[in-house]
Amino acid sequence: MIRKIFVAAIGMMQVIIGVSSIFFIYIFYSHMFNFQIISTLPIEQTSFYLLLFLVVSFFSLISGLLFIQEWRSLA
Amino acid sequence: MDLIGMILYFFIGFTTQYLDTSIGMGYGTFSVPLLLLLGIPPLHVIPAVLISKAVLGVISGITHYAVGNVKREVVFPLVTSGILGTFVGVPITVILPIQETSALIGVVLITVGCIGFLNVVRGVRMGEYSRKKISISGFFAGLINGISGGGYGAVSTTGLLSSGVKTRIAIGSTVFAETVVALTGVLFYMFFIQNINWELIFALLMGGIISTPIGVLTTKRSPSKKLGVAIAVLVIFLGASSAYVRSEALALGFVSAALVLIIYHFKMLGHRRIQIGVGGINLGIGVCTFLFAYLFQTNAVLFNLTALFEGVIFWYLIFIGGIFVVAGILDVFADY
Repeated sequence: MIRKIFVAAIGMMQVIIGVSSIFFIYIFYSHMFNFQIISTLPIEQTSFYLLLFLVVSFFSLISGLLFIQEWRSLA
Repeated sequence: MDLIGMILYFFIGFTTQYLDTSIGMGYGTFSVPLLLLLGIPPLHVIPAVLISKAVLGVISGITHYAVGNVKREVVFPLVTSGILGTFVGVPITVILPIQETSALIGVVLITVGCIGFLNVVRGVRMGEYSRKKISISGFFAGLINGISGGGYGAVSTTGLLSSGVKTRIAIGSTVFAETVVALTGVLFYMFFIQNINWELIFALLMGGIISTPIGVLTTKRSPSKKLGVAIAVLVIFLGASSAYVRSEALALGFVSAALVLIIYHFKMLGHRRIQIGVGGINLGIGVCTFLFAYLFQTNAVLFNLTALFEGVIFWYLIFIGGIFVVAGILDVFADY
């Protein structure tokens, strides 16, 4: 029972983190709302961090979806 | 028009129609760029290809039907969903610039090709197909056709193969359904375009008509699996050539192809091993996030942010790290 609750909660949070991060990366990359002005990082470093963030976001999304699938099979 | 030109157009019609009849795709995709390369203006090329495609489509559709390569229960959902997809696709053409459209189609074709390839190699149970999957394939084929004017055969044939339809039935039904779509395009051009180059159409038709029966027989006699692999490889190639207009699209296409391969290998591994692998990566990301939060707090990583932003980001990183670590523990210590 405890596992079922944890699986659902963590899965949903990972999906939310993944989707919101991908959305944020898109906003940052396409210069919307002038987010790039907030950071003074050089452009090469920004690209590196964005790539890293993107990979983690995708993984978070996949992992979250797997948890939701497990939660549905437990239900 | 000179004789050498006519012979060249004849051979273009012959080879591209052979490809189209035998593996269900390639007439429009290959003949349009070849004719443009020969210096014929696009306003002559597009109606000529559409008209010849419709006429040849009727001939090859009937021939495929006659030799038993067409099934009504496959064609009906394919045509209806294809028309719906075309209606959705046409307005998108107005919004998207032509380069972006070509790049988008490239990415779709590379991914579809990879899925088709893996399905054929893995051995989908041929003959046990689902109407739902056929309708989805038809819709996307119509959508791509509505957006770009090409790619119907590639998406439809590969989609049908992945739905479990036998290779020869997939090809025959695609050719048959595509004819309806091409005829709609011809009617449109007949009303709005006056520059119809009938000599070019005649040369293409002559070549195409001769190669049609040869192509149909090739389909009838080819081994299903080998033909399916050939189709999938050709779709990947078509996708790469279409995505080539934008280097990012080409890279994205191959990344999505790589992802398809990774998912396929994961499926072969079994659920428990995947879960342990995902758990390990979750734990790794969690620990790295904690480490990054520590470096961020001690100013070892400089972002030059305001104190408020620094505080928010630090606690956000701690939160994310915590989620990943808990996710990793749940994955590794699953009850099996």
